Amino acid sequence: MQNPRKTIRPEHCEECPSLGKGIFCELERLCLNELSGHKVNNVFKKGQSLFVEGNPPFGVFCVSEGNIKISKMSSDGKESIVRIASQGDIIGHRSIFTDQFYTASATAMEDSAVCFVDKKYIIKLVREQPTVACHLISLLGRDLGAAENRIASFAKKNVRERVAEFLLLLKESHGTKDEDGKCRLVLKLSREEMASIVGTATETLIRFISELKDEGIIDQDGKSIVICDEERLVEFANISY
Amino acid sequence: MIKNNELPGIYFLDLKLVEDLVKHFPVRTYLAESDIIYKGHIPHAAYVLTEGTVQMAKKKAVVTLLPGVMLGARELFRNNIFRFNAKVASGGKVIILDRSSLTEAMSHKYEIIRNSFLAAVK
Repeated sequence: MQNPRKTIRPEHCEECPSLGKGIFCELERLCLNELSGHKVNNVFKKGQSLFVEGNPPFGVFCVSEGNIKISKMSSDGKESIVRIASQGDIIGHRSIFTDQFYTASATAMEDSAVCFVDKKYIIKLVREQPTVACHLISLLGRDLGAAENRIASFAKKNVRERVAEFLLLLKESHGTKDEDGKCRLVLKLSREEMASIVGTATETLIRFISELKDEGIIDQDGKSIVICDEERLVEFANISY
Repeated sequence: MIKNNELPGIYFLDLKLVEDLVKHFPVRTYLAESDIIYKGHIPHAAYVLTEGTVQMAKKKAVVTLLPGVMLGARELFRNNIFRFNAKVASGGKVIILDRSSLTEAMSHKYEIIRNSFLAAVK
């Protein structure tokens, strides 16, 4: 079934659906106008790549609408999703500052509007606009924290706890409250994609999802997962902070 | 000497000019086969192919381009969409000229480079 909502390509930053969420949003109007004229914005269809692991970086991508999966390919050809970028997130920033090749691939999970800003312009902005620099530092710090938590989860938690933790993380980034107070996860991931993020086999993930459904902690409405009992999900996730 | 466009969005540069460009702009290697421009997209950069091949495709028609070709400069400069899918083969080497670099190239101190890019974006 076709999505009736068409992804539009915002011409100006002020028309962007993720206005207020990105690192450029606090720029003064004059700078924002200049940025709007300089950036290149496109709609990437589902499955199209923004960049591929191993290729040279030359700018950053800012997601204005949609979801982009960041993944790495192992030597045996298996894909591991390391992050999902959504509205307001930027992608590819680490490679341009470290001058390394892209260490992961970025692929659109659905029709997504993405803006591209070249490296020279980004560096100029970082030097001239403290708000951009501060937001970038904050973003890098957040990414580092998330990566550390993930490493700790893989080391200390069993699969069931990781599945529960992952659902809670999804709730933060892609959750909306239903009328009955339950939280619906609007990001539709396949079981294989979820298993890749959690770091387990698809069959194991399906078993634990079923267990959570049997316990009444989550429910399924079509392809969407609905969190019915967040408190018990937090207990399952064994979160200590 | 710059030849007239035979395909929209493509510009053919003399190999001597490409050699000059290589001295002034960094050359990047694509380790993996990659889509550099999607049909219907505004290019993120202009690409000058220095080694390897680029395949341009529209529906079932495929054209293989060789070193010396420049893609996407006009579309990037004018914010127009590119009408083909362009894929660089694994190992292909390109000079990537994003908007900032393209602007630099058009005001380059060397006349031949400057004139070439001004002609390419007309």
